[in-house]
Amino acid sequence: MADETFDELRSLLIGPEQRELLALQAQLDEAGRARDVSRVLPEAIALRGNDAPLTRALAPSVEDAITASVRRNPQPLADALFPVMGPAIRKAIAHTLASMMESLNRSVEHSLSMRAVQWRWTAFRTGTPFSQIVLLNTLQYRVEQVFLIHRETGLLLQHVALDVRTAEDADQISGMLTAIRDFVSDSFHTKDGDSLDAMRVGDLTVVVEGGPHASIAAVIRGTAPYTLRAVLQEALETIHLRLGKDLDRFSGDAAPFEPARPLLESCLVTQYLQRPRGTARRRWIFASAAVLLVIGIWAGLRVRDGLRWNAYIDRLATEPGIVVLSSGRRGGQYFVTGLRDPLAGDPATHLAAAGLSPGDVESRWVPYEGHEPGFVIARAENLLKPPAGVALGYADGVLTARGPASERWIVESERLAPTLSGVRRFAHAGPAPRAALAAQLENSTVRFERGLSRVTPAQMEELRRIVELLEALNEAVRARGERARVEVGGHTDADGSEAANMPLSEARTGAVLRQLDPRRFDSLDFIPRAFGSTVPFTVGTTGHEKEQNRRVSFRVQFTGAARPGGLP
Amino acid sequence: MIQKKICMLGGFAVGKTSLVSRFVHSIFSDKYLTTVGVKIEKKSVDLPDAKVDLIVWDLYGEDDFQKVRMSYLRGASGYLLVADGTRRATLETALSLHESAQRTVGRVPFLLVANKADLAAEWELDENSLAALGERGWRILRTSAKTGAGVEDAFATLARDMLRA
Repeated sequence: MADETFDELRSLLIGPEQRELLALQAQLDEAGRARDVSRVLPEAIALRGNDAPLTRALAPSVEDAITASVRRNPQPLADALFPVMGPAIRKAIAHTLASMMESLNRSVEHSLSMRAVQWRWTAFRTGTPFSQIVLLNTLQYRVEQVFLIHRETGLLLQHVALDVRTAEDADQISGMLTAIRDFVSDSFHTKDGDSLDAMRVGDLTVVVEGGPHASIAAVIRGTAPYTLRAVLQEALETIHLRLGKDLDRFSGDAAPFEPARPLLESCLVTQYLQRPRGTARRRWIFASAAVLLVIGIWAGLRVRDGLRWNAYIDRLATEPGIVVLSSGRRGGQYFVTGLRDPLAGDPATHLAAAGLSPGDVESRWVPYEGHEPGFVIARAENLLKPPAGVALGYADGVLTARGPASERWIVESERLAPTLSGVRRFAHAGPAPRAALAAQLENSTVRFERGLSRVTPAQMEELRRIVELLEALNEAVRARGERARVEVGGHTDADGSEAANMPLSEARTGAVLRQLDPRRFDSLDFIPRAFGSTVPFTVGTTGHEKEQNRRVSFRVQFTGAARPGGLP
Repeated sequence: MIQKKICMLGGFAVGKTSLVSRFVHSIFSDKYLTTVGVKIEKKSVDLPDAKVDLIVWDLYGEDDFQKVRMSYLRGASGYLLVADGTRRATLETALSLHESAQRTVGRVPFLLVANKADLAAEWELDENSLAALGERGWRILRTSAKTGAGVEDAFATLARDMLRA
């Protein structure tokens, strides 16, 4: 009872202080525990080593601490990471640049080759980027992805790839690869330890190298040599050697396998096709020679065509009746324009002679009349139809006719010839026909017997010739629209008196005129004259000479323009 | 980051694939199920103290014509046994698969999922049978692939169990 009273009294007297003391005691105990823990904590953590539960326990706090630190001031963390980030970034950039340069070099190297043309066509046809076609054709093989897979669970331990975008699905692919290998092993009841170690789809191959705890699967584009397997095996062995414990203890945390990344990255090999440079050079030389040959042939043909063309134009230039106005090459075809006399030679014959085909040349000829003597004469012959024995000539605008021609034809020609192109006038070379006729007439005589004025039968032949001459003269004079005076003079010999001779000579004139019938000659005016013996043909006195003086002679005088009237 | 391989086991048409298809990431088509007999999916689960990537091996539903390839279970850290709540027989199949699984991977965390919980009117599973299993220490969850009810919970529960194991 006394104890209970005492306790109650003590509680009343020092209760509050006691509670404070207990609280202080508790605080001291807690501080002591913290001190104790702080002393052993580093040692305790060191003892746990790479302990997964500890790491998991610490991870959220560490993450929160880092986050809070960065939010407060990012500089300390940036400074701390600087030595790590710099080399990592440089390495990544260097790797990317090297890959890019390699691809660029390949693209440039192949952008001008014959193969590139084929590849561009393939790229166009299949809608694939050109760079990809180049890669496919120049790549021997390229390891694009490497998986480090836990053998038992099929879980992904590490994954490296040329294209980082593939990383996202790597864990599922890792599982599926394992499933497929299991599927094949189950389906075909393979021996223990045997498993699917290669899969091929198109130009893609998946090569799997298995180890006791992990496998390496490499995704390869192209044809990889068998030696690549040795590279993969070596990497796998090294990983087993260094990370064997982690592989053995693996329970889902892939973090301990980070050190395997460099080894896996060393398996990302790219090997381009090695083409012997000599072959490439020979091909270049061959291609260059072929191109030069083609250019040479082309140039040779052009030169040959040019020479042929010039020869053709020269021939045309010397061809009478052809005037070349312009010539040359236009739009890949030769052309010639000019004037052509219809009587000139056909230009097409020159074309063939020059070795050119009509299809090579575009010709345009405008008709004209050339002044070459040949053409003028030909046209004149066609127009004037010269009589046989008459030859035409042409020079300096004058058309000349040589040879016997009627006065009528000459007159007609003088009228028509100037209508011909190039002919200013017509000329008949030699004595005019009427003058010749006159001369012949004046050399003609009708002879008489002594003392008689009768035309003897012997003289009738001569008289008919004289009539023909007169007819021709009349025609010639009329053709010119002129007239001529024909003196018909009677003569006697010197025998007898002049008183007797004068009438005799007059009678002889009359006899001849009667035979001639002057009215038939409408352009001739006959003038009868009686000379007696005053105008002897010869002065001799022999019988023959006297006979020559017994005659009727003729003299012709051209009187110009015709006038009405004739013999009085 | 922790990865765990889990398997989905169950009879034919119990809704395994439907159960996960809306909640997981997969790059493979369903045809793998009928050809290779498995399809790999990935489900990330955020637990309070860890983030776990579940690599889900969705195994082809066992039926009279095709058996589940037990070799696919090798290395699994856990599995989901899926039964169709509207078909009593599927529970038997699940139990049978459980025994096979245990023979292959030993005693690893697992979960019995009674799917199609949205079809309450057609429910056939015997509550007593489920209760008996519960008494044996089985974790049993009702899920609906249609409504999504219980699905996240199922994955999270299994993940948690596996981390503790």
